[in-house]
Amino acid sequence: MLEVRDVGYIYQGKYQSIEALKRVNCHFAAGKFYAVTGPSGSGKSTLLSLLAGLDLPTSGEILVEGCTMAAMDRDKYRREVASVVYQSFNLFPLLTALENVMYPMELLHVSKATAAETAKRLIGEIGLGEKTYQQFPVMMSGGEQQRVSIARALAAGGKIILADEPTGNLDSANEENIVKIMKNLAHEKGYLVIVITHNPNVCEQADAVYRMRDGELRT
Amino acid sequence: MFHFRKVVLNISRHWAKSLLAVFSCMLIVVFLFLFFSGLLVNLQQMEALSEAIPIEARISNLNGTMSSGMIIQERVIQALEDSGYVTDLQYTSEIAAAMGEVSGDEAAKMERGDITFPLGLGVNRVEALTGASAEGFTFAEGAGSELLTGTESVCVIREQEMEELGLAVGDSIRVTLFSVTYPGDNAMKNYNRLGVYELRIVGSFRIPVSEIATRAAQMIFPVKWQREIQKQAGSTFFADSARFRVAKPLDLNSFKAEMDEVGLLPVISEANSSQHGIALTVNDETFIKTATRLRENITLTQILMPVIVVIVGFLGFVVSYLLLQSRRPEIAIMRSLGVSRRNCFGMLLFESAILVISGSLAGVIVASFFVDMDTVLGLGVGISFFVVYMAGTAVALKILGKFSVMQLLTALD
Ligand SMILES: Nc1ncnc2c1ncn2[C@@H]1O[C@H](COP(=O)(O)OP(=O)(O)OP(=O)(O)O)[C@@H](O)[C@H]1O
Ligand SMILES: [Mg+2]
Repeated sequence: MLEVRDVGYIYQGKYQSIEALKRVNCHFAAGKFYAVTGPSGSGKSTLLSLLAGLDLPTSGEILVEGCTMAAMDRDKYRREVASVVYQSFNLFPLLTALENVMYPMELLHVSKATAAETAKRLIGEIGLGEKTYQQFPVMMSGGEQQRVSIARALAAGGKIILADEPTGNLDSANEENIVKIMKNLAHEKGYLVIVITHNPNVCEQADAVYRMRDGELRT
Repeated sequence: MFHFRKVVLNISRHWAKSLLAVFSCMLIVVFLFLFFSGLLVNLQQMEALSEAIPIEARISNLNGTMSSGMIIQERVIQALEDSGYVTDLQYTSEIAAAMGEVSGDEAAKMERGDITFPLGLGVNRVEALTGASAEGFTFAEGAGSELLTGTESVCVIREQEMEELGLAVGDSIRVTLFSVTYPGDNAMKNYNRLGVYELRIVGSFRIPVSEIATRAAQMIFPVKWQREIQKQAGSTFFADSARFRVAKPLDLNSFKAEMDEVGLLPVISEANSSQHGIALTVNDETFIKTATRLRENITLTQILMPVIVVIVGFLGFVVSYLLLQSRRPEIAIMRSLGVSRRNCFGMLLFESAILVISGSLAGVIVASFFVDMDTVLGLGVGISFFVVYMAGTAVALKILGKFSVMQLLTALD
């Protein structure tokens, strides 16, 4: 479903530029649950962002079902196909948890009532109670924010879920629950799920594990 | 609809910044109103200047020493009557009148000047008689000063003569009229018999003693009637005095050019005294002084106009940039969820537009306490402000939108 070919990426700063990825090649198939692991700064988040179409690789290309990302409407791709759980959650600070989860659905013109209903169901599934609905992100713990962010990624219904350390702030019970949800999505619904993690337990559950080091990928 | 709801939500959640945006727009708008109403007042004063400071003009001889008893060509009078720059034209024409039918020898004697004539005066309106306002006049019931502006054979006689001759208003009298000319270039008069005319007395007048010396007219006729009878008698008509107001003082130069074409010269004080009314005295000093000052004010304001446009645009840019730059992460999140760059720009611009419109309205309301607000001023300033300020905002948004979503989002990590 996703094909990464000779991908390199350079962060172009004002004073220096950093080569975060060097010639990465890999393949991700639908219906599978992947884990990407590696030391801090090895380029995991960078790869994930490129898979989400936030930017085009500096060199090489990424294909989505055989179609190069460069020729696609990447906004539409993010709205409808790929959803991301960011390492730092990236929730709208001035929207409540419920509004945050409803946002991607509203972008797809789902009616407000349906969106609210789905959002509440998802918030329930990732283990948060009704009291979270009206909470703003600043009033939530890291783990709570993380789970709202997961709910938001699931809300759009896109077939690709990209999650950057989605269980990093969670206790083991919650971690298990999230991994179970992700695995289910891959195996039962045919989603492509890619999870970045430092956690060996999560790696164990994955169908395949990619290891990254200094911007390069090893299997 | 989705956009509109989100925009309203954004405005209310960012209420402090929204208020700040509204408030700064309001302040700018109030300032603009103060500035432009100042300009408007100047423009209005400029327009009202003609009424407030009328420019009076009169025909004189070349050295400017005479204002009546001159020879003014009918052509000149006609040109003044036809000119769009002349209003309130008042002119008189001397005519000699003798009671009863005078003919033969007696007329010849009179023409030689052996007998002094009572002075008659053709006037185009009551006010033309120097010093006389309509107050000194008494008209027959049902008649009025407008009779003197027409062509009817009527006359108004001085009270003194009315008494001496035992006349009453409403009587008809027969008079022999003589045209008056100045053959030499001095006060020597020449009389030419025009004929005998029957005139109805429609009123009487009294001139204050002080005025008698300047103009001892005893009988007044409508000058238009006089012009007609002189034409019929084959006699050349001359006016002896003429004054008027300039109708369009703001076109003073065009007026002067036209007067130049008519042949009226500026006064030359060194010139020899003459009987010919060929010069024009225009009392335009005060007017020109005031108009110049007003024009300077207006020009200054107009020069400042482009500067103000630039300042307003720049303020729109700076205020929007400062207020919206903290929203970059928010924009990045929107973009990461698949909102296109155009939609992001549109939503933020729309949000700004709502704030700017609110600020403008608040500004109009506040300003209306200080200045005379009218629809044209209100809409003109309001809309211009909106367009210019929003242009600044659009530039700010364009610049704020130029960042790598990826770098911003991963940097948050
Ligand atoms: N916004 C950015 N601007 C410049 N350089 C960046 C940016 N984000 C990451 N980098 C650089 O790119 C390299 C890879 O970073 P990346 O975030 O992909 O690592 P990571 O594997 O996700 O690390 P971690 O496990 O700590 O999240 C790092 O050397 C980092 O310095
Ligand atoms: Mg990372």
